Amino acid sequence: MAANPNLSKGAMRGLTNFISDLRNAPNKENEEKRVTKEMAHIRKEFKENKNIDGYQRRKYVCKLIYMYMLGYELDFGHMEAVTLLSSSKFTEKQIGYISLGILLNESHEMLPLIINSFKEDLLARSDYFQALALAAVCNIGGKETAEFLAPLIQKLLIANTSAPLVKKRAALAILRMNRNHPGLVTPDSWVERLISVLDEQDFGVLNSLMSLLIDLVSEKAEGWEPAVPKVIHLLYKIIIQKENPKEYIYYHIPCPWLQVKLLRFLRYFPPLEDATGRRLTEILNAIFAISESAKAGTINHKNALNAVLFEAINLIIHHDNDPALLKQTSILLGRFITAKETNIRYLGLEAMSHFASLSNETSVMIKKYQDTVLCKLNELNGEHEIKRLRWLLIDYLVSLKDADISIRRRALDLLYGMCDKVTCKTIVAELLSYLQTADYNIREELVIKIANLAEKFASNYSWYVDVILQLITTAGDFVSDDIWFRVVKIVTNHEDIQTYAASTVFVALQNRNAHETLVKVGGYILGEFGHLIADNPASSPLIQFQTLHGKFATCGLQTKALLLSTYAKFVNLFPELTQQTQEVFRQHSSYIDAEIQQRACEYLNLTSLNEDLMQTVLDVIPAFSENKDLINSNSSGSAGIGNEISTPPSNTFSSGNNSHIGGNTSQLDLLDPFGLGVSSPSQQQQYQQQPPQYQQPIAQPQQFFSPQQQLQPENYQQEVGSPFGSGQHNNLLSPTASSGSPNTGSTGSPLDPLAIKIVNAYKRLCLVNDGVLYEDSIIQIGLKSEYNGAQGRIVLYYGNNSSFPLTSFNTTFESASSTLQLQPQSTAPNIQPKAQIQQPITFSCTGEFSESPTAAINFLTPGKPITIHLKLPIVISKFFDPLQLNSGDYFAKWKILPGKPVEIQEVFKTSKPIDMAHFNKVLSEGLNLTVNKGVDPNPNNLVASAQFPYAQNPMFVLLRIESNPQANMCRLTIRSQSAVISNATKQLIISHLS
Amino acid sequence: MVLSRPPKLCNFLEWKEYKIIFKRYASLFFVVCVDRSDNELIVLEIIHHFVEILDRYFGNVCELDLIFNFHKAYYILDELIMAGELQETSKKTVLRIMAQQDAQQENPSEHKVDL
Repeated sequence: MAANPNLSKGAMRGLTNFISDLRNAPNKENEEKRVTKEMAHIRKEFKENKNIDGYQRRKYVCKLIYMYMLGYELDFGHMEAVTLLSSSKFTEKQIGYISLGILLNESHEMLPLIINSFKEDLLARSDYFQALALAAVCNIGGKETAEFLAPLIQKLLIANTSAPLVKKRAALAILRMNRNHPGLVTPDSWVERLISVLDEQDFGVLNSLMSLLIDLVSEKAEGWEPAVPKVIHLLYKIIIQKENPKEYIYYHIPCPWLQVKLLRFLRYFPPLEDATGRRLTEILNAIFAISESAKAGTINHKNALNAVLFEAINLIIHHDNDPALLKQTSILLGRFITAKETNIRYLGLEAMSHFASLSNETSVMIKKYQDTVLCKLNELNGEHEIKRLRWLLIDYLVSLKDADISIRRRALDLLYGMCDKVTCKTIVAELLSYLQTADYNIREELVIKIANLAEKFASNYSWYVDVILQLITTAGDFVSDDIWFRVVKIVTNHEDIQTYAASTVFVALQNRNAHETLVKVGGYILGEFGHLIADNPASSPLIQFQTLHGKFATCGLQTKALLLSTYAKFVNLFPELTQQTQEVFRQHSSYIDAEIQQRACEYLNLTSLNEDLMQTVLDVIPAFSENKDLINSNSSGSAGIGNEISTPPSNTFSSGNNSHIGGNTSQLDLLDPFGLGVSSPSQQQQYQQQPPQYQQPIAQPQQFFSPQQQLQPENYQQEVGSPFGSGQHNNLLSPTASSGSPNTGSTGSPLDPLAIKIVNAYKRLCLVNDGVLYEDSIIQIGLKSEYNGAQGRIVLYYGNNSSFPLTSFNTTFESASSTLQLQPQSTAPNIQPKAQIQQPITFSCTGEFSESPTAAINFLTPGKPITIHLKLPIVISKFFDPLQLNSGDYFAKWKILPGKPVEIQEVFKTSKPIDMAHFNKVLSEGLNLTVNKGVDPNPNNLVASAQFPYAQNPMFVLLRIESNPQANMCRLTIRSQSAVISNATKQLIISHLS
Repeated sequence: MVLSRPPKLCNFLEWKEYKIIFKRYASLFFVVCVDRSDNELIVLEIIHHFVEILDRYFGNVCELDLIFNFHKAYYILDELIMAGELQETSKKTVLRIMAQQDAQQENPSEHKVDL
């Protein structure tokens, strides 16, 4: 070593000895001992030796750095390094800078302290001092450095007096500062001057400058166009004219690094059509020619050559405007991917998948632009490509089995990118067979890609189903929920494959080791479509059930819950299975998991109570609304599906679903009041959460559950609900509107839009059972209700529409009538943003009442406390039983019932032309009155009746409406045993009909 | 990750959102981490370039040279790569600068304080 003159200079014996000591240490302990000893020694020296000289300080700092590099903590010595830094001797300064570069990073607290030293060195006369300071800025420059030194460094870059050594470092220092703190070099003031530096002769400076320019144009290419001809000219000089300094030739290639940077720079600009553009074409052709001619050579020669070549290829692909060059490119790439060198194969595959995605774009372009010339060009090109690609397919598949995971990844990407309708089946089949042997770290990616391809290019869906099932079988652990949700959705939406899917799934389930995901798919599909294959004795209902139940014990909770739903569906489809399934429900009716327990209890009741109800609830799922591609909709789409199929009847809404409640149409709200999906099983289950003591069948299941029928009252509601402002309504309005409404703080002016909204919502809900009761930007309150005899149950859903949590949430309810008492359950105290809580309230009616109960909802927002007063739409008519009477009975009853003062008569005016059919609907469907035909022969009159059975003695409500269509006037007469009922009924009818 | 790869595989690895490019010289691995969009081969040649310059400077470089003269290796690296970009592609230029810097060194023989 001593023979080497480079090493003898500046060598430090003490350092060398120290390093060999450490290297000779027989074990870690000895090394640590040696380090501790040295540290103590250095610390002592620094502290006590006032006469320490530069050499010693340098040596100690070097030793410290060495220890630091070995992984030992340093808690001193930084100041010594700074002392070295500010020395005027180059050697000391050099060590100082090196040590800071190693010890500090850009956020170190010491850094601001030494900026001044940087500045002094930047202003120094010595190039080397300047270079050292610039290097430090490049390596550890932070924000303060950028702010403080940027102008100085910029000057160094463009000054003619700066040495190349300084210039190139200045360019990189600016690059570094610009990366960390963009906006330092503004195009306006600097573009021209920086471009002028391109005239520089020194290749080292050009090289650094190009790095800076590439970084700048990658942020914003506008304004830099004047640089393009210069860059092309430089390339021309290097490649065609071969004018370049000898020292920059690297293995016979003139400065490959600069070439690569120049080519890359051009990628940020569109192709030029003028002479300069033609010159570029010449250059690119030359690059191809050079790579053709130079076959032999060292590996370094080849690497440098190919580095330039790949950069050129990427530029060509990027420009995508020269058919001749593109063709050449595809031939070259074809060769690369079969090359022996793994590096070349890797790069070839990468460029090829870039290329494949491009030719897809071209085909889209063909459809888009009917320009014939362009069309022809692209067609030729495209056809050629397809042939080539297919021919090369085999090569890719070989690559897919390459021993190198880097190559396999690229090959997979490429196959994915070039898949189309023609090649899809082959590719998917190959990928599937590859999946069986594939590495674990590539499987997940592979599964997603296969699923996507299968869906994207499926010509028939049975093939798709096959592919997914095979996916589950071979790599079930890697099949995410999204994928199986998707297959279920597609099967549901396509009737033609349902039978096929059912039988295939059934066969697949026969495998004893069927994956749990398969059990989920199987459970769903057999539950929905099992009946399609039930005629086959090999897959009779009983066998289907047994097949699934054989897997039940080993499944997770989610799957168990899903299977319970399947069994419930089986009961509906195959009554002969009732006994077995109910047995299962019974077994699980006290299961430890609440979800499963709930399902078991509900299904047990559902399947043993009422057949109509069961049929409706367990009817076939209608087609899902078609949405989005799997990969694009991973978050929103699948969350939706998740709610519908697999999650429990949950009380939290996915935010994705919630968003469309925000939409205004009240019709939508009614159909799908809580965004759960119109007819999902879980929604219906939720509906069914009736307390077990309800033994009576629900009177009108159809009306409860069919969205179509719910729609009808809504339709006319929109018509009759709109007029507003007659004297009658003040009555109705006052309790609600008198309260401060959260948004407007209004005091109940009837014209307040929010108050109108509240009243309309209330009125609508008097007629129907479910809907939105209240909504503003902070909270949405939805309501579902059920009535069964004298019992009622409503569930209020409080959804937080705001972006902040609602705290101290509490509610109080008041009923003015002693015959109607509410028993609310308590609620959670907080609602998180976009979350929702629910509050069930049960009540029973023991007699007539006229006033609806009220609710006060209190909570705190970050700004202020808010109280919302609402009327709950619990009205007397909800407890009516329709009463069918013929003419004779009607008049007999009418006579028994007391006349005035209990009889009530009122004349009201309608704001719209009188439509008796409407009246009919409101009364019969909304208010539970039977409109008796043939009692009053006058078509402009109607009579209706109902029974209120929950007072001490059953009461009757009889009424008559006489209308005068010409005058839009009506006269309403009501008789009942109770003035309270008569009054309440009158108010309801008038508010809804006038 | 790098060490576990058999010698015949390619010199590129995908790691997080970066690429790792490495080359082995005898028992030494030179590892570079770059953006995915960077030109792989040219980075590979940067490594080689660095090694060649080390070789010239130290005269048939070996591991021990780098260990005992780590600060010199840093000087060379500083000449070669800065702010993540190659700054000088000419071997001659780098070596010339190194020689000039060395010329500024003081004569070490004056100091013989050993430990």
